[in-house]
Amino acid sequence: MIRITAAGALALAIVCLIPRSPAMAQTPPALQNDMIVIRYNQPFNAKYKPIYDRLKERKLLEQFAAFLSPIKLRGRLELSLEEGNPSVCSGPNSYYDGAGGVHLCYSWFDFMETQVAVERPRAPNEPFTANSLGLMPGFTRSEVMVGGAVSVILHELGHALFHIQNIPLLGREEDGADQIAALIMLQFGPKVALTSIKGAYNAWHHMNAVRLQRQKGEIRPDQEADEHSIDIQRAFNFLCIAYGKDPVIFKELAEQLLPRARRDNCADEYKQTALAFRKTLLPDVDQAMMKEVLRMEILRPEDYK
Amino acid sequence: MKRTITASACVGVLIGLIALAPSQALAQQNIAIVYEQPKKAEYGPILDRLRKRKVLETLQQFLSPLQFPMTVKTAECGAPYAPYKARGPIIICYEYVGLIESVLPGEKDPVPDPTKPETLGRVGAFPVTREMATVGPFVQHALHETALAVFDSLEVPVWGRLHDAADYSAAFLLFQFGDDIARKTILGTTYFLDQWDAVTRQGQITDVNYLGDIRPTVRQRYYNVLCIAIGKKASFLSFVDLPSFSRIFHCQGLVAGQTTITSDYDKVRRAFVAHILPHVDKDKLTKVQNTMWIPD
Repeated sequence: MIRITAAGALALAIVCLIPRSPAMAQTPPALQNDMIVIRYNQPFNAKYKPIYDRLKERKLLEQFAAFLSPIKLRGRLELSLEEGNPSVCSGPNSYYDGAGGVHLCYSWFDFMETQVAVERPRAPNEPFTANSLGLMPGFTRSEVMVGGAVSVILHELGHALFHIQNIPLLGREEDGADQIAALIMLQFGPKVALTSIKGAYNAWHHMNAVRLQRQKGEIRPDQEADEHSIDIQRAFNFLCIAYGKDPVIFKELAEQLLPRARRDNCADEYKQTALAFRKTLLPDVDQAMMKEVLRMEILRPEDYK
Repeated sequence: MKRTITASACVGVLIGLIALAPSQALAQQNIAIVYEQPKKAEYGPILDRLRKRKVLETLQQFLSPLQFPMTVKTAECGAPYAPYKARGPIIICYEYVGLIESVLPGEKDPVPDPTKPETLGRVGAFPVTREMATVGPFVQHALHETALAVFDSLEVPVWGRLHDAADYSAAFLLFQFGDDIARKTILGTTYFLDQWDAVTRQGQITDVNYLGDIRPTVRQRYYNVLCIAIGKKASFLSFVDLPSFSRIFHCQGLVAGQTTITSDYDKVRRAFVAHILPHVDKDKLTKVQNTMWIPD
């Protein structure tokens, strides 16, 4: 099992935001891949039922499968939306199981909806700090729900691709999976990029703040022993790659949230990630299908409301 | 934090252990070396000793299997690290050598007896001598910086943060020259990183500039080295507090039913074979592997 400390996904968050839109998510018929299987698993817990219903109706796993269809997979990939085993799906969490299965747990989407994308009361003039929970100033609820979810679906996809495609890894896999997520989030135009990166940043900021509050402002050595980077490092990593790709669109966010010395390195970090993608994943991508995918409407106007 | 040991004594230990006479068998032209004159007088003795003991010449031989041009230099950087610049030289800063010395405990005996190596402390159950704690991190650092240059020169695809990958690669390489070198350098490096974290942690662990840096935290680097070591040698497991080491399956690898997790060591080995080994002279590599770089 490959755990993600928090978790989420493209499809579900979007669904949570869009209660009823049966005409959406038409998958282009050409974007099929027999190696990809999807599964919607009914939740046992009633609180997850509305998420399940909305997601299934929106056909978000189908859309996600279409998005992945250009990849010539060397093994079967199963995308499963599920309540899952409490030992792995609670937390909140989502995970790749090391055997071809990406498990998207309801707990993550519920967490995004009820904890992260929520404005918390602050006293007048009280600053939003590293310890502050919930929605960040200047961020919208929909951005955070969508972006927080997208980042985790794509992160788990990253693990799946590393494993199924047998990609040699020199660095830490968890950060590599975040890099895949960030890179993909930046390929669908500035609006999708800004929305999804902001959401990812806020999700990891919130997770970091929860830990800081729990640990009285300290970062414990066991967090540094973990296979994942520290939550706030993950937030920085997402934003840095985005700023490296597009220093205009992400200028304001980067100047506000990234240390100066780090900003200066972001163009190189984006180049590193793009090079890794080009050399390890792109050879297995059907270019004609990829062009179709890039024309897909990943987020729709309703998603930004 | 500066301890009581003198710079010259420590550099003497450091260089005395790694310097060997240049070998004709490993002569090559790809690796250029430069000893840069420092501006600060305090680094003069470090430069003198590095030069006298032919440290860069030794490193030049060690790197001789690489079949592409690189420059390695020692320099005053204004900080322990010099940011690696694309197609730029590998730079080992005098400040980093000074840092290694400064975070280790001071010398107990002002005139150490070379026949009785001083034990500084332990990592897990293993004793660490001053020699290990100075040579290990120096060699690890040189390999870390070299890895950055190799990634750049060969356009090696790197997933994950670049400096984690450089730490992983350096630790992987430390295991390619026999168990004894691996033991000495891994123990020495982890001891140094542990000490370094201990003396600097309180002031910087929540500093946004520290956490936002391109480099992992010192403690993360400590675990990076250990993680690769554990993947290669289970005996290094005794270094870690297992209940809090949630990364253990990623370090050791795991096969359970249909689930497989490849150890980080094996991942790095595969990547090394795929992306770097094709650019290495195999005959020279064998010679380098058979050379005793750190004598007893």
